[in-house]
Amino acid sequence: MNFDGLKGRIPVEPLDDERLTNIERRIVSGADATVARPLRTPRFGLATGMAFAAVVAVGAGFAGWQLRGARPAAPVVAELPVHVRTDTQRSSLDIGDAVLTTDAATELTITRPNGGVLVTMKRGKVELEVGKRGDRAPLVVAAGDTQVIVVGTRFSVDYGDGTGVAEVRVTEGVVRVERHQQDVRVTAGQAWTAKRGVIALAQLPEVRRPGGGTIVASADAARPTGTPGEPGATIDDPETGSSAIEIEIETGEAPDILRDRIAVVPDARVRTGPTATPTTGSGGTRPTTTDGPAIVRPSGSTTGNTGTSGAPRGKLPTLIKNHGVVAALDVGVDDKHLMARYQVLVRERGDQEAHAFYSMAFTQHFKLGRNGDALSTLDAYLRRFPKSEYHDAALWLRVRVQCLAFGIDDKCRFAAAEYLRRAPDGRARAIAELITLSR
Amino acid sequence: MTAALYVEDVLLVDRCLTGEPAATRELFRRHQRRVHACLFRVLGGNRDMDDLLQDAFLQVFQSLRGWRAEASLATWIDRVAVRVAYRYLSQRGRRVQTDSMSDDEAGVALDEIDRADGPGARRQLARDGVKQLYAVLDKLSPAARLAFTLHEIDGRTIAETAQLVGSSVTATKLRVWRARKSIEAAAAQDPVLSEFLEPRADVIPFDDKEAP
Repeated sequence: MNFDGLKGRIPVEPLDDERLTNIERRIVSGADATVARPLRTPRFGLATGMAFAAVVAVGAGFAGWQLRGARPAAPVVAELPVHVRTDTQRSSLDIGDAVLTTDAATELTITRPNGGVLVTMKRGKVELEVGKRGDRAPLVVAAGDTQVIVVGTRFSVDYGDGTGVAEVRVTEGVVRVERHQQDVRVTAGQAWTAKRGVIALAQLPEVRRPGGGTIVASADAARPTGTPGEPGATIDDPETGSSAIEIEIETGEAPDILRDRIAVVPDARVRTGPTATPTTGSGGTRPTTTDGPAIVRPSGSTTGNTGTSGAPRGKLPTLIKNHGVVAALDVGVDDKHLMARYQVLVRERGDQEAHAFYSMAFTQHFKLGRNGDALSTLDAYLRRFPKSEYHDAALWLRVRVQCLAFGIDDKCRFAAAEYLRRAPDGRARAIAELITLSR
Repeated sequence: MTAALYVEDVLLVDRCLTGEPAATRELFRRHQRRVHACLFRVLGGNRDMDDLLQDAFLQVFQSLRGWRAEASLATWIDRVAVRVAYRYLSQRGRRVQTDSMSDDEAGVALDEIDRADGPGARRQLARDGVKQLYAVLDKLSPAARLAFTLHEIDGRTIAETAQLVGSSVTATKLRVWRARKSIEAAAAQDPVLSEFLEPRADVIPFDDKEAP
């Protein structure tokens, strides 16, 4: 019997427009939500729902009762390290930029490396509610070899007993988790673990530790920091009135672990050592270098100004414009066919794949003036080729596109901070530092 | 797939990952027709198609971060859709009822067949043949049904089918062969199915327009 005749003999009965529109609407509205929960959520009965509501109501009442006597807490804004250790109970600490709620058996240190906030965890779990930081540097939570970078959101980091790997749960906004030189975006409704990567929040069971009381830690914002070892914050347990938590504000130097961390905080705005002169190559618009990809200086630009200290001088847009960028791949075709040729090279996945992908962004920015597309391409590039030869070049091109096409704003500063963080030895480091310091 | 389409897919996925609703909509519109056709041919009808399409695309968006561009986006989405279909077939205990023919169409066709043994009657026979075919497929295991429908009806190669169902080429060939044997056995007992599978030259194809 010949079955070949079946192909194409059974027509597909199309779905009518109304059904399709409904499906599309449900999918578009559910696309975000679906990452936050499994596709088939269990169906609860009415009684279960009512029981759940009752539990929530009782819980809310209990929380209100717990908080009834708490006096308004002034934020802790100490410039020097704040050590927080909770043994048996949860605590809540307002540091001005954020509210940190720690579980029992949690230990962490808060520092402020020049405008940023660095929370270094030793163990336990902390939930953070971070307000919008505007042009300030992001808040970073470091837990072992994992870093969570946030500019305004609500999330939690669980570092267990301090020996394993952190777990991150995001309930609002977006954070970026970095570990082993790889970073992932974790959005609201998602969680991240080292083993499983990004997963739906609902797939990561909540681990509750003993201790349920809320303790509000407060400190006088204007209070001068004391001598080393002197408690710098008053601690009240609203239930017992005893000091169950110890918070110290120290005047001494940050411990070694923090010094190391400060160096990698992306936007700490710390100038580390003498700044490098921006590299633009020399002579002509397409100079070559002996190490690394060829650099081109955009036409009409001049050599970057530098002061006697080696730091670049001049207006930022000019400095950015004059700084060299890595040249696009020369494929020997005219401008009209460049993109098509690059796309073929990307598809072929040969040795030139990364360069061709970078070159697409280059072409979109310099030749086609499609700066939004260029940024999208660069974002895609950086995700796809986190370790390629053109990684630093792509980061810098991203700074250039963002800052020149859209102005020196928060996004520009963030792009520069990203450059500093991900390419700390990059050629444009000096200019990137200036961008992060700009107002 | 062209290189331009590949890069478009990469950029579109990135936009979807940033939560852009327009990108989500675009991805759905770009692939829904093909996914629907694939599911329709596997299942033989539009019963529960809304839920299946929705499940398939929600799974796509849920797993989009996992797409590594090793396969084309279309192939990857098809794999997700085939998995959804497999789960559906398994959960329904292989008792999927085929409804490839709408009631209106059936009514018209029956009127015609009553009138004379004309083109309408032959079309009706073809419809009955499809119905009988899927009735036999309902008795097969989900894996065998998927392999047979993807290869013989959807027109994919054995290698593509194996990739979609996540099995080896040998196992897929075996499933297709077994499905053929079952259908041949059923056709030996059923003249309508037999006629449908081996049509005479003058039989009008199922989806032909009105005969001259």
